[in-house]
Amino acid sequence: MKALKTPLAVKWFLAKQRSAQGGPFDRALYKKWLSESSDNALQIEELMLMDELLEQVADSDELAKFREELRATYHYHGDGAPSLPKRSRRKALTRWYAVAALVLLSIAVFGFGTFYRNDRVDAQTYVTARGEQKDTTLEDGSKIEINTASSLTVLYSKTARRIDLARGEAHFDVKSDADRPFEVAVGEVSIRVIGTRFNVHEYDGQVDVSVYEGHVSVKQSNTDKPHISLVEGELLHIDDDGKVTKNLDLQLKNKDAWRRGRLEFNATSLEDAVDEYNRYVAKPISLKASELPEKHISGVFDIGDAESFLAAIVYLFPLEVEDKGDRYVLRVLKNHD
Amino acid sequence: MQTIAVYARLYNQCFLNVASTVRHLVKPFADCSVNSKAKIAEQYGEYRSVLARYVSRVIDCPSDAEDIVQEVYVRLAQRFERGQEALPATSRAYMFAIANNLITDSLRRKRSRKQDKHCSLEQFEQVSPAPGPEANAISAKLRQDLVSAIEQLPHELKQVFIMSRFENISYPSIAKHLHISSRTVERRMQRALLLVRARLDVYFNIDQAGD
Repeated sequence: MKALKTPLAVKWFLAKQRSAQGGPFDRALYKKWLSESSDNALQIEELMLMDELLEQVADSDELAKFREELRATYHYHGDGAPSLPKRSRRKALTRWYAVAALVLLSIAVFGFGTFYRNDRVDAQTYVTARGEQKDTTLEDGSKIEINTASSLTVLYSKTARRIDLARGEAHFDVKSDADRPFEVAVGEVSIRVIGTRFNVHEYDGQVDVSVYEGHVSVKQSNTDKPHISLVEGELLHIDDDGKVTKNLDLQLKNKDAWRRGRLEFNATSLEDAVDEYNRYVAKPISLKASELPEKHISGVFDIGDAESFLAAIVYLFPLEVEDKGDRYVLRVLKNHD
Repeated sequence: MQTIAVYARLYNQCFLNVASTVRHLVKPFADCSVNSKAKIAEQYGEYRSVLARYVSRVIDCPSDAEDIVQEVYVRLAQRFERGQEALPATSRAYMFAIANNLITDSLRRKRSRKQDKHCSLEQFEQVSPAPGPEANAISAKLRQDLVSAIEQLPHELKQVFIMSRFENISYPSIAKHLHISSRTVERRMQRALLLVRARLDVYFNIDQAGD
């Protein structure tokens, strides 16, 4: 799999599509961008072709199943959402009955064989549910620990060790092998190492890379920007627009606490702590305390231990907990002034 | 010029008027910092076969693929006539952009005329009144790759992608249903599209089109 192409083409493409439904679209600027390089035109044509290819499989049974599930879950008929075009609604009804059995047969097998030519590649995908963690040891002895709600594919061959982190977080302890670089691809970022220990966390298009041992080299595949070198104790944050900030990672010690089943906070803002807690649980906490001044929390908690975590919060801050069944709500105490 | 025409005829017997076509074609490829005529012809042949392989990765019907490859040359020639020949460094990307555009058109036409879904070759070889075995516009392998590219999307991207792309639900409505912001919907669409594109790289990668 080649590096992902510039998201600019994707942005233009989506903007152009949405403009058909009245979205904003600067045609002149688009034309200008197109004329800047024939590569831009190529990428747009690729995306248009891909769009048509997707149209060709729109009726496939596998997708129909997922579409039905989505409809059942979100009831988007007559719920303020624009109704579906007549064509697909009619098809959807007949499809629903026809597909169920077929779907079981059609477990997708993805051919990674083309990734490295003439080189057998083992591909293995690991998925963790919310609150679940997994670890795996590769043939070479490198260890990968996978945190909550993550999806990661290992592509392992004679000449390469490559991990695609689709979402979530993982900690890598890499055995040194100069002939076979270890590469982690996450979104538009790729991280190359020889032998080291580091943690990668992807959330909503943003990526954090922290290094525990040795050094790693980070490259944004969509740009001409040079590799960024990271050494032990450093944190690289790449936001969803590709902007990069490098810092000493002050939370480094706490950050891989998940590997020990813990959440560790060290003067962490309450908002961040609650977000972190919520990553692991089915019953999240919603914090409605924006009127309080800056709040920080320090401490160690077991992952998923709502009782201790909430108890600490209400002890430290003038907040009260309400159990709403599917979530906890933290609110400012009524008599607080 | 004559030598080139001969080479061209060898490589491309499908052009009715080889000489005139070659007149249009030689210039763009001559620009590719190639000096000797033999090299030009070599490149001409190379590009033709590279293009043919590229197109036939997606288009399952050999005769349609052939048509598309020829049309790419016609477009390049027309462009040259208008005095807008592509610069050497960019002509390759431009050529594949044209190819993609033509493939898209061809697939779209087939889709809108469902009865014409079979390989157009059969129109000329109707040996039997019964309909022949139906070949789809795209191969079963590509169909499967497309579906698994979507299926393999992370769940939250897949939701947004399918709702937007296949259910035609607007970003604001998706945002409302999933309790996320419109901006997040947009970001997820972008990421989903990138991931699908990356999964299909084997079909789109022009650097490997010659393999």
